[in-house]
Formats: sequence, structure tokens, C-alpha cells
Amino acid sequence: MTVTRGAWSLLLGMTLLWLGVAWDGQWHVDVGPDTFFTAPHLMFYAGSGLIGLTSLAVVLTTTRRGASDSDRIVRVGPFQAPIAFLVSGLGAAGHLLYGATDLWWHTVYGFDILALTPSHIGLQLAMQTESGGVVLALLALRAHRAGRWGLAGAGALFLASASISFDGQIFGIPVSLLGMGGAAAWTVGIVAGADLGRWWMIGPGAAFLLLLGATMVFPPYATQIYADAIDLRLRDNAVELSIVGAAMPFLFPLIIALAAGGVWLARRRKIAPRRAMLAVGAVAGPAVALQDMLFGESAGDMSILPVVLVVAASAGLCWFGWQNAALLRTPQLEVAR
Amino acid sequence: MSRRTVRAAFITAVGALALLAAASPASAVPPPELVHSESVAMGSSTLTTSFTDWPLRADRSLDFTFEPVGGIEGRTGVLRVVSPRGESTLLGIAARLAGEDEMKLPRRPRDYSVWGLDAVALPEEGTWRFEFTVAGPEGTSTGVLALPVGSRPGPSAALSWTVGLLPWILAVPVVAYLWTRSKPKRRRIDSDWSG
Repeated sequence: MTVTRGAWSLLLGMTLLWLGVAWDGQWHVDVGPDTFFTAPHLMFYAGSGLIGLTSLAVVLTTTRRGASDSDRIVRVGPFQAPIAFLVSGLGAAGHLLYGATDLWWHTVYGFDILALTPSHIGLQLAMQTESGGVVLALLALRAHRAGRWGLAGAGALFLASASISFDGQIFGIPVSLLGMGGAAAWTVGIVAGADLGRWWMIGPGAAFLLLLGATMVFPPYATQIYADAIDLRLRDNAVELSIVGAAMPFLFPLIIALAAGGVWLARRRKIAPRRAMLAVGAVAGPAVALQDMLFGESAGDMSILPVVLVVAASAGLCWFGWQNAALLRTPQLEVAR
Repeated sequence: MSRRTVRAAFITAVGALALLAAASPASAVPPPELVHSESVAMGSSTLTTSFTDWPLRADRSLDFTFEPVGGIEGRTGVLRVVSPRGESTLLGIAARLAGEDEMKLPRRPRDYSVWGLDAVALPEEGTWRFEFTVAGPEGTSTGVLALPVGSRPGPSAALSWTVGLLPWILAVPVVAYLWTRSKPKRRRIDSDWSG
């Protein structure tokens, strides 16, 4: 499988994975699973399976055919792995592994979503890794218009994943804020570093709106249909509105548009990328996390330390994202084959 | 995107959906059985609380049902759950999302003739207090049930967390090493927007 086809296949897998996870969340709240083998579980494992098999196929093809100069290859033993597919493949392997531990976990503890479920943390971080690999894979297709839209979609999925991947507090530090702000800043850094032209920078914002719409509509609808199909009733205290959709940072499209303006201005004034991206990240990340600060779990419980941490992490990740994209972009644009 | 790519994507999508449809459970698993009951004095009446798991263990979820004498028709029930540390606690994700101080008892989804909480865990070892208030035609009555909850099953929390986070604990130094190695290349690109 070529890196081009592989990238589209990853995007499809990630979409299935995301919508499956959102449906699963809704099912937990409105109906409650009575077995590990529910349709939402099968949907998101199918998505993750597609990501894993695609990554494997691309690595094997690249190893057999030999890599071109423009591929970004990591040698792992006898294998030549394009870095994007190595990341997505490791994420998918982790997802499968933690899927197995999650199956065991639920046989011991049942199906209440506890605050501390290591197998869920493992699954969420694996999903975030897969999603990062998908972004890097689509980055290689940026020479074409369709590839740029694919990259926009992958960026939106990365941020969406982060809105549920990171949760709660560790030692008083709100991980959810760091995750959401950092993921948004990294996405901004990636699209700025990809050097697509200023209008394309707002692409992930537009794709995010579409994804938000799908995530608001699909999970409650699928939950109702599935419950009817297997003769289960919704709980009296069911929420029915999309709980995963409501957790998504809906201000992101506006903020990435402002960030695009910031980058455009910095380039016109010949400000170095490093300074510009640190500054854009320091503002954009916390701005996206603001929704969680105001309405999320940590609302009304804010001290200065979390804010400082979110600013620092977002600035650093925005610059990191820019460098990731710039490293994959050089020396030539025509990476896609 | 070439026609072949579109065709490949389409075939993959159809394949994934076919797999999903084939693997979907045809019907729900039968409800878990009630294995134990306790009677709670509510003034001159009683309320029967039943459990799908007994004895109770911390963090292990189960279904509870609550049934006042005369049934739930025309009555409303409110439950306040107090943890061994004395904190008011909401049980189940639906109640936690609603975020009220106490829980208005919902009907059991599998059996509308009783109130119930399904797939909820008591997250702490010790004695829990269930404080009931039932309002009906005969007035309002209250009652309290003390529930002993044993230790958490499974491996220790420390071991669970180590296993859960191990890949990422290992990944951090590897990524940091690879990133340091890319420094010469990064130095070249750092000063140029399109370089």
C-alpha cells in the first residue's frame, strides 16, 4: 500500500474510531453496556483495526519497494517505516493491547465509568497517538487540494480526541486543560509549519465544525436506534444530548482563524518562526482551554499555576508542531507519491 | 484523489461496516439476577433494596433496585448516598453528569415496576449510608440503610497504574532522544518560514 492510499485509509479509520468512541460514551450515559461486545465498541475497534492494518501494510510495502528520498523513514530492525505510519501503528497496537486489558478490567469491576480506570487512560492515550500519526500521514499529501482537506480533517480529529483523552486532575494540575490547549496549539503549529498558504490555515477550523456537527447528531441518534434494536430502554435520567459533542472545544474555529491572522502578520513583519509560534501558541492554547476553565470540571476552582502551565505547554507544543511539519516538509514539497 | 483511491476507500468503508453489522449483538444480554435483599424501615412502612452482587466490594459495579410497599406508582423517591468519609456521593455516570446534590430515583430501565440504579459502583471501602425519602399518598417517610463495602478487588491501584502508563513512560525518553538527534536539521529550518 502506498503512503497516499495509506493516509486516506488512516483518516477513514480515525473517523470510525472517533465516532465509535463518541457513541460509546453516549451509550454508557443513556443506556449502559451490559457486555463488552456492544456495537459502539465494535465500531471503534474496527476503526482502530483499520489504522493498525493500514500502518502494517504501508511499512511492509515501503520495506519491499525501498523508500524514496522524500519519505521520512525510521529503520526498525529490517523494516523501513515511514514515521507517520510508525506512530499510527504503535498507537493502534497500544489500542489493541489496552482493549484486551479493558475487557479484563470490566469483568472484574463491571461497567461503571470510574474516575480511575488505567485501561481507559491507556486506550485514550493510544487513540491520541493514532490520531497524531494520521495528522503526520496527511501532512505528506498537502501538495494536493484533497490532501489539504484531509489534513484539515485529521487536525480536527486530533483536537476532538484530545477533548476526551485527557481528563481529571493529577496532583492538582488539570490534565484536561493541558491536553485541550496543548492539542489545539500543536494543530495550529502543524498547519502553520506545513506552509499551505494563509487561507488553508483555517481548514482545521472548518473541518472541526463539520466534525462537531456529526458528533452532536450521530451518538444520540445511534444510541436510540441501537437501544430499540436490542429491546433496551434509555434510563429515566438519560442526557440524550451528545455528551462527547458538548465536551468539544467549540471556540476552536474562531481561535484558529485568529491564529492564522497572527501567523500572517508575523510573516509580513519578518518575525522569526520560533518567536511567532511560541507567541501564537501561548495565546491560542489557553483560549481553546478557556471553555473548559469556564464550564468544565475545573470551573470556579482556578488558581494561577494551571493557567501558567497551560500557557507554557501550549507555547512549547505550538513551536514543536511547527518544527514537526517543517521537518517533514523539507527538502521538497512533493512528498506524496 | 484518483479513481482507484476512491474505490479503495469505498471498499474499505463497506468492509468495515459489514464487519460491524455481522458482529453486532442481535439482542441484549439478559438482566443480572438480584441475589440479595435488605429491608429498610420507612416510618410505619418498609422499602426493599435488592442487589445483583453481594457482598459489596469497592469499585465493583452492580445494579440496585428499590421498591416501597405498595409499589412506585404515584410515589417519588429521593436517595442521598453518604460515603464512609461522610461525603455526599452521586452514583453512576448519568447522575454525576446531572450534578445534583441528591438523586431522584429513576425507574429501573429493565423493569419499570421498581426504582433502580444500574451499573453503579461504590468507590470506597467502609460503611456507606443510603438515606431514602419517599413521598406518596400517605405522606413522606424517611429511612436509612447502612451498607458494608469490602476492599477493592483486583490488583493494587499502583500496579494497575504502572501497567496502564508503561508504554508512555517508556516513550518519553525515546521521543526526547530522537528529538535531540534532529537538532542539526532543526537548526537549518528554524529561521525560515518556507525553508
